[in-house]
Amino acid sequence: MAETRIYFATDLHGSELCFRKFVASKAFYKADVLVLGGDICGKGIVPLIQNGSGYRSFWAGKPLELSGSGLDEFEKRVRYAGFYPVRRTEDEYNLMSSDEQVRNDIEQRLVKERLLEWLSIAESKLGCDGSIYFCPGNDDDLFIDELFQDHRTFVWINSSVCELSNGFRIAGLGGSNPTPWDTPREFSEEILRSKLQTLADQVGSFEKVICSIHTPPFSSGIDECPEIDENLKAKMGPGMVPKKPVGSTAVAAFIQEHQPLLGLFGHVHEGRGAVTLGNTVCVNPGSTYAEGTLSGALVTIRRDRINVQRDVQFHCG
Amino acid sequence: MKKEAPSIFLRQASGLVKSAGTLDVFIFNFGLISIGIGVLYTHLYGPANYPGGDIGVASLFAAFAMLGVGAGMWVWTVTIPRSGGIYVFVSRGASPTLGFALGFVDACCWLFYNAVAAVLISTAGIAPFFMSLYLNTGNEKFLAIAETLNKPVVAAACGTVVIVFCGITLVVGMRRFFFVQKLMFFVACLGTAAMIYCLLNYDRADLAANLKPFMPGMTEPYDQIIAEAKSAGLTTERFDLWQTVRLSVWPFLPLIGGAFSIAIGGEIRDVRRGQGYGILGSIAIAGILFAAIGWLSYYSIGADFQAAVTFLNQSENAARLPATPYFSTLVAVLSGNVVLTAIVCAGFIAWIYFWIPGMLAYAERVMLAMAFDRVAPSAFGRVNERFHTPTVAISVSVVLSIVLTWLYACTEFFKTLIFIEAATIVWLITAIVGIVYPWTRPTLWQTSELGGRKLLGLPIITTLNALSAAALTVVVALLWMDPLAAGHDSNSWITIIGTFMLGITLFYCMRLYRRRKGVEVSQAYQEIPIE
Repeated sequence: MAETRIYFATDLHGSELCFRKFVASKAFYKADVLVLGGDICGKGIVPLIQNGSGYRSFWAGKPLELSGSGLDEFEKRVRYAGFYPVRRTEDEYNLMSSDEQVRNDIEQRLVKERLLEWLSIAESKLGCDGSIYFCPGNDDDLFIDELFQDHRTFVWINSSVCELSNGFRIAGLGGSNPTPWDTPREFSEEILRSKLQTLADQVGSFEKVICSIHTPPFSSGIDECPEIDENLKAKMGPGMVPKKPVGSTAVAAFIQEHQPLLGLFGHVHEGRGAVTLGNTVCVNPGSTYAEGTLSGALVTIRRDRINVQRDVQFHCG
Repeated sequence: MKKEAPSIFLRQASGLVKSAGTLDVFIFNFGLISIGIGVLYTHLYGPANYPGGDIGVASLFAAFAMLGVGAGMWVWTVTIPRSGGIYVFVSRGASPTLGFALGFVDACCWLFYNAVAAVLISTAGIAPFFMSLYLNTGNEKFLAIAETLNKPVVAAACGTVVIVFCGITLVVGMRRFFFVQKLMFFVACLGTAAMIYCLLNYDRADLAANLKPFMPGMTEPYDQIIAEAKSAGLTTERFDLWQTVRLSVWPFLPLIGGAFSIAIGGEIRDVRRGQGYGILGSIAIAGILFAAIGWLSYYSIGADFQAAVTFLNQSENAARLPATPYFSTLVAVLSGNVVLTAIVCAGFIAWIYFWIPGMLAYAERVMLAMAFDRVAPSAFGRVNERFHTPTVAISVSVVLSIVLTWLYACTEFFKTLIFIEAATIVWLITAIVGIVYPWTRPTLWQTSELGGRKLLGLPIITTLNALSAAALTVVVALLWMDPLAAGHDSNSWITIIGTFMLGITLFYCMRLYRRRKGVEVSQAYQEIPIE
């Protein structure tokens, strides 16, 4: 019986540890296809300011004094957690604090350096045969596109469709609907609808098609996250946390209309789950990058079908 | 001059939220502790059975011990900020078999106490309410209602209605559930405030005067009840430290609720602060509240009187009160005021109620986590298309709770079962796993939010879980030696060991079943090697 095993993880948010695990996952889970969801850029820069022969920094609510091997260990921990450590002198740090352009330039450089390193890791571990299908998320700056578009290990599937083995195809759309954070790749529902229509025109028939779309369908059960108020403050009530759906109505309509075989989604870290919308199996593995574990989903397609109860397995490796 | 710590520069990225307000966080966890059950049980069993035991001091001891336990659970949930509680911590920290078995026992324990709470709604909440109205008005219809509500079948039926109601609110979604929770929290707090008002504004003279109509054979019932109890064998002491320590197991049980937010850890933003203030703050405040109520009751009701009425009730002495001397009933007689009685009793009902959705949600989250790992039927993880809630897991929790409610209410065997020891042993093993976590899972520890942080020279998870283990060891020992609170009755232990073995068996059966379907469940727990 022809089986295709797809391993999908998403929202790594710069975590070097999770990316290394993702690259190792192909062999570990014996996956045929690796699909990486978006939001691979980290969330912040951690400055290490020169202080005599050492450095001072700040982490997990605590100021730190670092030197020697402790410094290297700390930088590794920061990278593993998805942040960007950068060593600065006192003057450089002050400039960075006061000048937004300087900060943005440093941020861009650090993000690119990290991603280039990841590309090199992927190439050395997986080879050059287009092993990872990738679509960016809303947190991923536009300047990263050029890094992936012609890379030999990565296959860029944003707003495009590609052939897989066993007659399957994969189509992707990055970015998200509007969020409260004004992230680099947000689109109105109208624009998302238009982009999805363009994608649908490229795909044609949706038989044996896998879609990797960063934003999950609205009110699908895999798009619920804890509620926040208008000041971006988390809400809590007696004994429970209120949640609300934040997915995209355009994506929901797209899935309902075209009914691909499989939908792979990310964006909502707390929305881990697998549901069926019509005949489409929709999977969101969530994200636990902050704790150093790679949340992923191993989907097995047997005889061109997916049984959501049997064939979707979640892992936290 | 010490320089300021540098700032972290955040990118324009999603998900960066401000923490919930301290009050919101506190209310969140406080809603999981049942002040009502704590006060009811401590005052019903404490004074008569632990001569010289001081409820106030015992409550502070319990809070101190539970703060240690809470600290261990806090560091666990910050290290592994995922929903599923004990099951997730131990399956990832030690082994999936042990994690499943402990998670299974843990969920069963709390579903059992869910059933106890469901029965208490009627017997210790609504029945005392009507009994108090009878005592205050003399209307015999209230007495008849109270006696009917105390019947096992009626108590089970009332409990079933409440459990089903809670299940429905969990199914139909968070907004309705939240509305009910907030309303009940308001009622509970109002009832507690009314209770404290009564304790401050009425005294033994009021109680003595209000007792007379209900004890027609006595001219001075307050003093005569105490004298009768002493002649029947009641021992009263001024203060005994050992008895106070023994007594502390009673307020300890409801305080465990302060740590129940570990079941929904994956849904809390800013876990470190949110869970920290929530778990530890709620335990501390609840402990202080228990202590304050205890000392106030000594002033207004009297320690000897409380010991006497509960002693006479236990021995079914002829001089006992015409109603079970629940604390709510005593406060009702103390005040002699129908309105205050209604508010106080409504508060107790609300506090008992809080445990029920909290326990249902706890068990449901454990089932969800197990379903995701494919060691429970996949149906448990199924999300309803209309309500987007895990209706199967909620329904299973509801059904199990209802079955346990009827068994607890209507059978002597289940009435005698004590699961609190099982629960504390499960948490003790979890704490031990936490002590060694930095060495069993070094990479995961180092990359976690508190990785690298030390306390007293050791990784903070080690130190705090050692504190937790020490506290739990003391509690387990106290429970083992106390036949009233727990003991080591063979029925209970056979049931507990049987539940544990059932958990292990279920795990292996599920693993074998999945393996035959081509799914290797052990991979759900394995860390992917990166070298």
